[in-house]
Amino acid sequence: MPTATTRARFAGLVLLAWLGLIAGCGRAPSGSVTLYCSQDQPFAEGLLAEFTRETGIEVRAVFDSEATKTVGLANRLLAEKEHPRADVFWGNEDMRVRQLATAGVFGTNQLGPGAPAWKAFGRRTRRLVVPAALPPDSRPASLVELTNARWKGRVSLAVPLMGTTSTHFHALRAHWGEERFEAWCRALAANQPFLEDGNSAVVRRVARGEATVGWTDSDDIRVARREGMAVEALEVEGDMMTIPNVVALVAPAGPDAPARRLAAFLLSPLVEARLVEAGALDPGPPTRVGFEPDWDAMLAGLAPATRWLEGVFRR
Amino acid sequence: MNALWNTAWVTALAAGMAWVAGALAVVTWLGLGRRGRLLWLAACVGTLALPSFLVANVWLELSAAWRLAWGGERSATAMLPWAAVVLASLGWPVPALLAAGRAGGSVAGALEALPGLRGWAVLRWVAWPMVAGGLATGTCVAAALAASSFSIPTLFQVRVLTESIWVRFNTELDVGAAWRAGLPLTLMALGAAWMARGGVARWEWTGAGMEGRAWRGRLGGWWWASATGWALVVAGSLGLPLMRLLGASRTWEEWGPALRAGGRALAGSAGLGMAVAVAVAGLGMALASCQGAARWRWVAWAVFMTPGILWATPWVPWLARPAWRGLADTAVVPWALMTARLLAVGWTTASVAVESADARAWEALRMAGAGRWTAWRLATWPQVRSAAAAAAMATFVLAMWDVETVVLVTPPGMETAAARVFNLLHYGHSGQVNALCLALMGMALAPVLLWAGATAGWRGRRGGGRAGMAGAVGVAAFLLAGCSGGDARPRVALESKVFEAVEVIGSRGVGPGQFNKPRSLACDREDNLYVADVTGRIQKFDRDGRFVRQWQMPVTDLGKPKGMGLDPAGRVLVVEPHYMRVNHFDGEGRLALQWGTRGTNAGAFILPRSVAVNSRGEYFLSEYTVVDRVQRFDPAPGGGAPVFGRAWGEPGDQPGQFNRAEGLAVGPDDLVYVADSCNHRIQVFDREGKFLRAHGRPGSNPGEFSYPYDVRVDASGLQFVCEFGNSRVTVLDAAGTVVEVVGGPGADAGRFANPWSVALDSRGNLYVADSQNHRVQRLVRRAGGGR
Repeated sequence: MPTATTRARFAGLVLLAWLGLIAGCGRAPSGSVTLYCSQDQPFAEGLLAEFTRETGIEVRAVFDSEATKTVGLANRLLAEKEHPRADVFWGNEDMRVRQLATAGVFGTNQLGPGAPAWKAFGRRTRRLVVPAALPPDSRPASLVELTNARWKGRVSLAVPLMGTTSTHFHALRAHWGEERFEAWCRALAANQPFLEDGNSAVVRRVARGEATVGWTDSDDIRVARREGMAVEALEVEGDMMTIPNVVALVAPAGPDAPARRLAAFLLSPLVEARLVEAGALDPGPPTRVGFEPDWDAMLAGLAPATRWLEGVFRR
Repeated sequence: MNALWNTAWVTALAAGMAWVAGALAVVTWLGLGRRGRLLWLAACVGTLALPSFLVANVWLELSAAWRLAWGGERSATAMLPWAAVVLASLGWPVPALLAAGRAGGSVAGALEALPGLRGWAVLRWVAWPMVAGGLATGTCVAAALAASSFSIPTLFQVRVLTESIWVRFNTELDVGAAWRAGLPLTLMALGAAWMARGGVARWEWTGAGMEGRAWRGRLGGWWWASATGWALVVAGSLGLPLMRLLGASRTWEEWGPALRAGGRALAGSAGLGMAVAVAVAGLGMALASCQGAARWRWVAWAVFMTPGILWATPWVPWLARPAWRGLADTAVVPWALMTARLLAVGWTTASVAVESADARAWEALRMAGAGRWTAWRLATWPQVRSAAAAAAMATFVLAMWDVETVVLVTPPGMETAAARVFNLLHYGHSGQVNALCLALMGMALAPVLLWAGATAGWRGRRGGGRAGMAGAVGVAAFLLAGCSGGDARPRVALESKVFEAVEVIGSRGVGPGQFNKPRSLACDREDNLYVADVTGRIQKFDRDGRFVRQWQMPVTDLGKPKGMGLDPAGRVLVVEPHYMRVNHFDGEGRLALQWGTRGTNAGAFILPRSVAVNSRGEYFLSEYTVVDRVQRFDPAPGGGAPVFGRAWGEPGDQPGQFNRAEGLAVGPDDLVYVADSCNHRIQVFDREGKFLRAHGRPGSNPGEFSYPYDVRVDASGLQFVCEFGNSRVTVLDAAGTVVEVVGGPGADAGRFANPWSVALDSRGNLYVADSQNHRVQRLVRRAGGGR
């Protein structure tokens, strides 16, 4: 019959062992690679599991939340620039990776001989989405129309400080010029749009009938349609843009390093094909929709333009 | 300024509603007996344990439906009251519990002091003085929690300060700016903690039965009105979300897949919850036993009520430093942050217990020569262990729900279920969200039931102990069933003469065991199942539906594989229509043979769609587009690629003509059954291509078909026709008479969305490629079913 003291000591030992065990659970095992991933988690997880199964390399992923898509991880990469924690960055848009490259986050890494540290693949498209039942003559014909009074309180878009919506705003700024862009932004804000914390929320808002026009990404529309939501993407291309996925080598990696193998896997046609099939990327040849962004102009005014947008849309 | 204004309004509204609901709750509590008070407590704890996302989602849909139905204003500002309703529905138990706890022992005998009072007077002069303090304190806490909430106002389009902090920090990574933006919230938390510093809640159960009856009698209609009001509050805040959670078929369909995909996240949550619970309970007990520490307890409460995101922000730049790398790669930082944030709960609970403990036994042991630790362990611990367990339990639940405190410092590779739910909700995966919420609630309930069972057992109530233990074991088994990796797929009984049940295999996705529009199926001799979908993968499952392996077709640029069967050697046949060829794979996915050439001549292929093999080892393939025909290939004398035998058919709708022969099968008598899909019929031929008979015509009545895409025939001659258009399977006997129709359009188990292919295993089970539901369904054969 154990005494109370024996039981207490045993309980203490069990407790210590438990704490030690679970504290150790978080440690990086050898043969692992740390991935910062802003591709949607449901799309990415299966592919990363497949990579692990094929190579035996564990992928320790940090996923971006939809609400701060790409910006959160991009800032984290900037903060860790001198001592990167991530080995590979998988982004779902290219403006932030260009910003990181300009800031020297990727150092002198090369994805291949003579190649830069990052590479784009696949494409999505920025699109307007409307309820399927909306008659053709009631649909907006361009982005500019969204400032029309008839759309007051009926437009939905993601917060223009994050994600592809942010990229699109900055691209329009460079494309249209400051004056036209700022006038349009003020008019759009005055129309009291729904500002969502993600592009998929935009489509759901439209599908619920709360908003009549959404400004979102093609993959979110596709996924929503697969879920049975009766929404349609408009073939409005003039001020729209194409957005690729990107893979970047963040930390230096040897020729056969796990990070390089993961980057090669993510850039393989297989992954692109799977993402197309899953709806995360647009099918078809990599043709550009809409205009070609002026990247230099976009990146030059990024910080002040972001603060200006915050002032306009988040008063 | 707008964010501050919104925060003030949301907080005030939420606090006001929480106060009203708390007042209704505590008046109800006064008039309840012991069992009633247990149920009351369960309702409060259950409401607190509900995932906030689930509640928000329910009310988000209700608010949308309300505004669409009643024509309310659709602007973003109109959403503010709804956000407040959700925050109040989550927070009302705090003032209720504190008020009931503060009233505590003074409830007993309070009515006897004023025997002549009844109704409103009892409420005003007896009840109110007892509960007002607790209600005020609890409302302050609820207000602070509402003010620090980030996700719920955001979901309702209400820009609040916490959201500003989040955005500011994520866009600029500026810790100082985040804290400056959060200053009003910090001050509010400090104020609420300072106001609440004075007292703690103590629960009294003794005499509740008699007191409850007395209170009910003296309060009269006021009690019944309060009880009715409180019941409505519980229905809205607890019943509605639970009904939605448990009533949605997608919850159960996604149960297994969601738990398998989120197994690591659930383990992360359990680890976080347990580690923090143990640390908070232990530290709380240590602080409660420490002389003079109590006067600083309000600081712990201020930490608790300050937005978690603020406590996480300073760590992000620190963890990027190389010196912290070892720590940053472990779960220690999120655990430590959560422990600091929740310490107030453990400290206060332990203080109540320690202050209430009888010190005489401790003193007696000390006088007898026992050390301080021994005396504490033998005399004090038995009196306070229930409180320690309660604190650990509350902390466990709170830690499991938290997103904002740990999201910025979670190490690579670690995930919590709450963070996963937060993300999935954004992606609109409501089925998986529901399933994970249910799993988290199960995890939260299991220790409570275990504890209840154990304490009941200790006290000698053997029945209660057994019930509690059984409940805990049941919850654990339920969870394990979901985590066990495929053994417990949902099995739903089917009203059918041929099949007894249906099981769902897989869900939508591109990962192992997931499908994207599965279009072809085959079963091998060991009853393994092979599935081809439009990702261009072939996935293999064992006879119990567990994923085994997968392989990718080498090239899919022109099109994806479609059409599968089994060759005489037991290898899997995979047709590549756009490459005009047939592949033979072994069970490991190794290519054993490939044959076929492009062309319209006999022996060549134009878009072959399906393949079947008869008992003689002869291959039959159907084609469509330029040609509409069936070709037979005979086994090559020395093995290798089969050689052309004969061909029949041409485009048209006459007997022996075809319009997209999408599927075919060989019956037990070696007759060839062709699913002539666009002619909406099944044609039957002998092996030489002689037309024998046909059945079916366009329509949806029994015996009519809409795009029959595939057919299989079992050993008894039963035909299983898979109708793409009618989203069902029609079962016919050997003579072509309808036996029954199974399924119909829908997403529930046993319903189909454009089924594309079927396959039979040796046990007579029928697999259906439910293409637009992105899954395979197995119809389990009834013993002797249809034979």
